[in-house]
Amino acid sequence: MVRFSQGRPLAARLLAGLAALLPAAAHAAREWNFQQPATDIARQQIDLHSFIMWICVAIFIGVFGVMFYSIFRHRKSVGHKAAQFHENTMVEVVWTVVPFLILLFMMYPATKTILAYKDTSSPDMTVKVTGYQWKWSYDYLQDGFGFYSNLKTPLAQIQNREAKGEHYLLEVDNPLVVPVDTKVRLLITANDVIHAFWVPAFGLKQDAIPGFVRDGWFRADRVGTYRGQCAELCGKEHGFMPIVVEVVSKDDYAKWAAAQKTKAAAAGGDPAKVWTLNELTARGGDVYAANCAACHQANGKGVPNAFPALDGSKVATGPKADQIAIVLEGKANTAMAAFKQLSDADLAAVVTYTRNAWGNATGDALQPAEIKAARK
Amino acid sequence: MSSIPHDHAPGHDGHHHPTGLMRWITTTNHKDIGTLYLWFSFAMFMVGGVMALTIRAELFQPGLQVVDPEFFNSMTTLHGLIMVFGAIMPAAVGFANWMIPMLIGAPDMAFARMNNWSFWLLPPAAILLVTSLFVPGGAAAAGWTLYPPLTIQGGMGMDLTIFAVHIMGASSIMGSINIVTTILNLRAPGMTLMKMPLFCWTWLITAYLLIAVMPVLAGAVTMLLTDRHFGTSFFNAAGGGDPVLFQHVFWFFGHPEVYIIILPAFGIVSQIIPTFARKPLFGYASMVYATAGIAILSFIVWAHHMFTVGMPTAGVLFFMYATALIAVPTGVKIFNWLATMWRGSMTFEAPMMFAVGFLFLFTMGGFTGLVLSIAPIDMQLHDTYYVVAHFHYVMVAGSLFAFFGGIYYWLPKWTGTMYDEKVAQLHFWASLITFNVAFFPQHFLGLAGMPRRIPDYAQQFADWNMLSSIGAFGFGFSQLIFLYAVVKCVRGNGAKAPARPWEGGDTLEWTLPSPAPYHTFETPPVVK
Amino acid sequence: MAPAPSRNDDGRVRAANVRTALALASIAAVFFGGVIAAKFMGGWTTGMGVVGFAVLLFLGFAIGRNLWRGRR
Repeated sequence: MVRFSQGRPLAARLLAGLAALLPAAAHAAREWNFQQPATDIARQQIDLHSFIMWICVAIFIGVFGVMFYSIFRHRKSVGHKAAQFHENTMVEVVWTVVPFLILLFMMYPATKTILAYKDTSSPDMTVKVTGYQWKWSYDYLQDGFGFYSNLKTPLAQIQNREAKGEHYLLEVDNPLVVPVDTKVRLLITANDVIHAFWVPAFGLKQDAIPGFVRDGWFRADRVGTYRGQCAELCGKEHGFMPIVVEVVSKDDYAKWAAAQKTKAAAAGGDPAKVWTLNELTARGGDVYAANCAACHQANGKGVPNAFPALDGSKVATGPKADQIAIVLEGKANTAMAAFKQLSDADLAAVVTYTRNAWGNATGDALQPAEIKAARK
Repeated sequence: MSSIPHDHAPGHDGHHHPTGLMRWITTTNHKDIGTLYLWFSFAMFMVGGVMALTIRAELFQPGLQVVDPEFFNSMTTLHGLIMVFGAIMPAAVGFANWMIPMLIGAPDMAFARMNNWSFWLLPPAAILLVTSLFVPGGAAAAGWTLYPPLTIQGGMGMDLTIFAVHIMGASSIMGSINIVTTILNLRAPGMTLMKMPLFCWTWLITAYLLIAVMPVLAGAVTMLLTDRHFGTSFFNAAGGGDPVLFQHVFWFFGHPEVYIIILPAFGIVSQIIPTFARKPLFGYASMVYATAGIAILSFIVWAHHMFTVGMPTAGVLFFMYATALIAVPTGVKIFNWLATMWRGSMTFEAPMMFAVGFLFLFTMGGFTGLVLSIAPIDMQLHDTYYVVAHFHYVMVAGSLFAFFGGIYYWLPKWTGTMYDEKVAQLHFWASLITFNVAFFPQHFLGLAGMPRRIPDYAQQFADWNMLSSIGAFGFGFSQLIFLYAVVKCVRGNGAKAPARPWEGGDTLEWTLPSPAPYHTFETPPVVK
Repeated sequence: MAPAPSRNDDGRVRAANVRTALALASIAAVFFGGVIAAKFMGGWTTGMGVVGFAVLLFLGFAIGRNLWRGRR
């Protein structure tokens, strides 16, 4: 079979030429084929696709060559008289059996690739990936640390108030970092609705299903940054939860992992510390922006008829215990998910923030201990 | 003469049936009901089309310009539901109502009053769907596939959608029972099953598919409803259910649904091509067997819509092989149509143009379908714009083009007036070109990695999206040409149509005068 | 009035129509009920069994009926 080649075939150049007639500017704006593969599986997929496309093109030319020949020669306006044949068992058998054989020919490499794709055995490391509405989290199970990965593109770019950056919508605050030439097994699940983890350059797409853990794997053979997106409709911000994977050298990975472990140990912090209102609202603002603003909006006004306002709401100005319960457990049959996966300090900070931001001025400063007590 | 419609509606003897609006509300005549179905479907086609243009307007450029993401999701959801259940399926039933009795020499459908009821269930369903846009929380926004748990989150718009699906399902089941009974019991003497025009065969098989799978969809959405409001947990993992099971049940409906949409189109094309090639259909028997083969295979391929949910390897392999197998009977049909054209004496009036356009573009949709059936490739292309391009090639350039062809083919018989050939040719070329401008670039978007159902996208997808939006608007406005052509014909503005306007037409409907009288074949024709 | 007995004999055609319709409606009912019942009992294989059995049943019915009509 033809291996994926770096040089662009004639058809590609023709097409690019055609595309040049378009008004828009940068060449990068009209990608038309698979992204550069970074794993063997992705390379096999591309080869398989080229293989099948060429077979299809050959059949296409054959079948429609016949059709157009017939259209131009067997028309009444050139005086062609209609034949009256309408049956031929031999032909019928031939055009049933031949396509069947062509299919068998296609199925052999497809089967080989799918067996490799599904083989998640003996990985070198395992990362648990969890989809949330609307972000990803990565837990390095063997090293005992983990983090969330949020969209980094500023709202101003999305709302066309600022020029869009190079990696518009495909940039995150904390990418998944993995070493090169290492078989990484992903355990993929979701917290609320179905998401799908997809990195095109790795050829890996796996739905993340709440309540179930599915797995997939990749072995990236080039250092670099690879970008993908959630591929299963998961609600309002479905288009805004990208996946970024940094593939680094094994040395760099070891250094990075060590730093993460130290950070994780420090983040536990002193549970007895008493936080001031200012500390809480400062931290709470960040937590709010990462977890809440997508629905309730940065200005706390929500979206009419879809997501309630927090500014002036009974929940954010009423009894603390009720609000803590909703944040911890979510609200049944609404988009309000449970956020008990956040730390006590983060929850205390974000609840404090909502009770003191915008027009809300309760003056409450919740302590992490209160959240801890409210957890069942 | 006492025939079946007379039993149902005494007084309908062609002289004093009600006029005005009451005529259409109370009618039990298969031709009136066919007309109602077709106009309803056109209206829904326009509504769904406006939604499609909203989607394409938002996707014209990166960034959010026109609508907010939640409304965008409602648009993709309702566009899908309305086009499938409101436009394509009722159009096919409209053709069945008009043509099946005339093609088999029956006086009317078997159950004339049930026929009226199956149509009049549709407008309330459409109203439920459209009004769901205006209820608190907005319309359903979880995609036309309605996957839980996302569907559990929506507001009451979701419930309205579920009820609409129930009603449309009931309508389809009644319509199908009517069609099967008509074909099995009311054929003219001498019209054996293997002498029926192929359109009747494809509809007979479609009707069986509908009877088998619409209840499955109804069951699935009923379970969604009880999960939402009555505390069951069919699809809720926390309560012991499984969200993936919904997908299995949905696609057990959904894949046969694909053939429910395309088989009547196959039937229409099989009527048009022999007429304009002035040559009998090649391989009639193999066409019937291929149709049945496609229908049976359609029940065992559903999970190819779910290759990425993480099925066991054996499951992936089975569904990949079974899916690829469908290419065989589908190929047989294409080859038979080509052999029918071969050494014919062809002319290219609008119906034939649409049939040839159908053949060409449907085959392209078939090839991308084959590419998608290869599981490892599908792992890349699943839920991308490649899939969107694929199913628009088979549903728009496939079914819809065949329906346009069918409309032009039979309009002279329905109205007694020839359509305007120049306008129809303009409609064809405008649709063909704009369709390809709209949907061909979407293949590139999918290959390059653009997921479907996103309101905003990264910069590298900008150019093709802009081109696609331009094409989509062109395609939308091209359909106004169609409306003009049809209205002109209905108003009798054109040449008078002879009983047999097409030289090669040899089926029973052409033995009737044009326009076809209100009651036909009360005395059965004799088929040799 | 044409000499077409199967058409002039309204009662017989109607009875045949109703029989066909009831058979078809029962298929629809089995599919609707079957899919929910199987889910309720929690067995995916049961569900597939019910659905598969019903597919075969309606195929058998259609073919059998046709053969019977042909013999008559």
